[in-house]
Amino acid sequence: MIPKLPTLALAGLVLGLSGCGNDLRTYETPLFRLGTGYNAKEACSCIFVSERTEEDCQEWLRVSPDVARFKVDHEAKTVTSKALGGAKTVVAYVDEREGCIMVD
Amino acid sequence: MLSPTRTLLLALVPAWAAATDSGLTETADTATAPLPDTTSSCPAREIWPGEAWTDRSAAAATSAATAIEAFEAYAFPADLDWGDTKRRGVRTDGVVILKGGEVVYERYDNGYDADKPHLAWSVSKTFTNVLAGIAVHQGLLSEDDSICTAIDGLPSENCDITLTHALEFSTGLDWLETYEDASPTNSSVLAMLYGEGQADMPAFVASHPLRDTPGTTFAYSSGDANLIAALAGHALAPTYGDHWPWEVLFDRIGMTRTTFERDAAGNYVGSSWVWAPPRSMARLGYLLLNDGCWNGERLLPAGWVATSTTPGEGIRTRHLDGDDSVNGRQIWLNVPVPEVGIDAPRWPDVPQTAYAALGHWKQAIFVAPEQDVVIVRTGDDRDGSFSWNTFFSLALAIAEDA
Repeated sequence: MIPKLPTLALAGLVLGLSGCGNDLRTYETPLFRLGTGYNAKEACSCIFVSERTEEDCQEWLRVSPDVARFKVDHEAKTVTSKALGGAKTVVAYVDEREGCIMVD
Repeated sequence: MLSPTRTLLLALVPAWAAATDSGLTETADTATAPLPDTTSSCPAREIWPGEAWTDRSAAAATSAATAIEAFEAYAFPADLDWGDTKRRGVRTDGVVILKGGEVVYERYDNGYDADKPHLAWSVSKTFTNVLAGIAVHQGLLSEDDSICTAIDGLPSENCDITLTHALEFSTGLDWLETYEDASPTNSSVLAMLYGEGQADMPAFVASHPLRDTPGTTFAYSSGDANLIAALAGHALAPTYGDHWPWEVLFDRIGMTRTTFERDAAGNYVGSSWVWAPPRSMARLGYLLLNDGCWNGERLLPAGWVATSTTPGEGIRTRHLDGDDSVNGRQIWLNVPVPEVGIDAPRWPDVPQTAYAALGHWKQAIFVAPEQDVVIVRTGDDRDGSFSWNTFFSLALAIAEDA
């Protein structure tokens, strides 16, 4: 069966964004895992280091457009970010000196 | 309404931010630091901040009123819409201007205030330069030390990379410094900060193959900064403990509310992850302005600041970044480098003796030695319209009239 045009376009875009088809080195971490890594780490720091609101941090993190969404556990001081394909990153706040660190 | 396909396509376009750098988990033998020369040739200076800066901004608001009006029209435009989803315009979060060691202007916006830490992004690299300089001054680190003194298991040719090479962005490592503007999975920076490099950033950086012989080229690299942080940490942690950046610098110069984040292996991310309020960042500028001395005590080797603000051998030999940017040792410069075709200063309305730590989305610690001025700017500029030349020149006009 011949894939429909949107499917081809989508596949092409993913390949392009994944760095396939150029002569550059492609790193191991998949696209969406990079997205959750960025989203969770910087959300955690924005909220617990800079002490900004979740809304402010969401806006500061926002990219064009977002691929990842974060949830904050204020009691545990952790941020979990998820994206398509099961990508997930968990970042935890340590203290005022060391800020946030990726734990999963 | 967007079609499902377009929605999917949009959802797949990544543009997450990256920053525009370690550490130590291993315990080296306990080192005994030789006593450094703490006072020689420190510049004479009567005004030093204690817990707070002396503030004469109220008086300066009158004497520099015209300059402030022009500056604010640019830096804090009245018609700026912080809710603009396209983030257009000059978006300043905070500014502190010091003249002669006193605050002459300060303003915040976008929910920030004098106590709120702001991400420094690549301004962090200049902090990392200073941390390495402190280790050199204390005799715990040498500019000729190989990265292999701090990082194990590297190819033998990579051991030719020294602290000097890393400071001058001339390691020669095959590194791709791209952020939102390129394919994310090709970006060495993104892989370091948010991908597989997160486990141990210095080891990740140092494992890249050599593209050029170390010391023969210049290419701006967040990876190089994390090699510096690894060397500094390896040198300083045995003497000062796990929180060595606070022991030797942050607490020493009174940088309150300063955060320095680490990777999963415990390495401080010297490329990108210092957070501090602008008034704390200004203290680093004041340290540099005073030739690496703080309140009469020399923290950096004599000549360290001068060398750090002079183009090195690599950039004078071959500039690989394809632009007119000039960097000394993790510090941006405003001087021509005719050897590589850079015939004019990058900020034409700013003194050529000035220099700056600069970070992603337009963060800065700017130092103008001849004017005795330090300027800190935090911001969130995304649309490419912001000009450092305009900003610095307008801010210098305030200092001149203050």
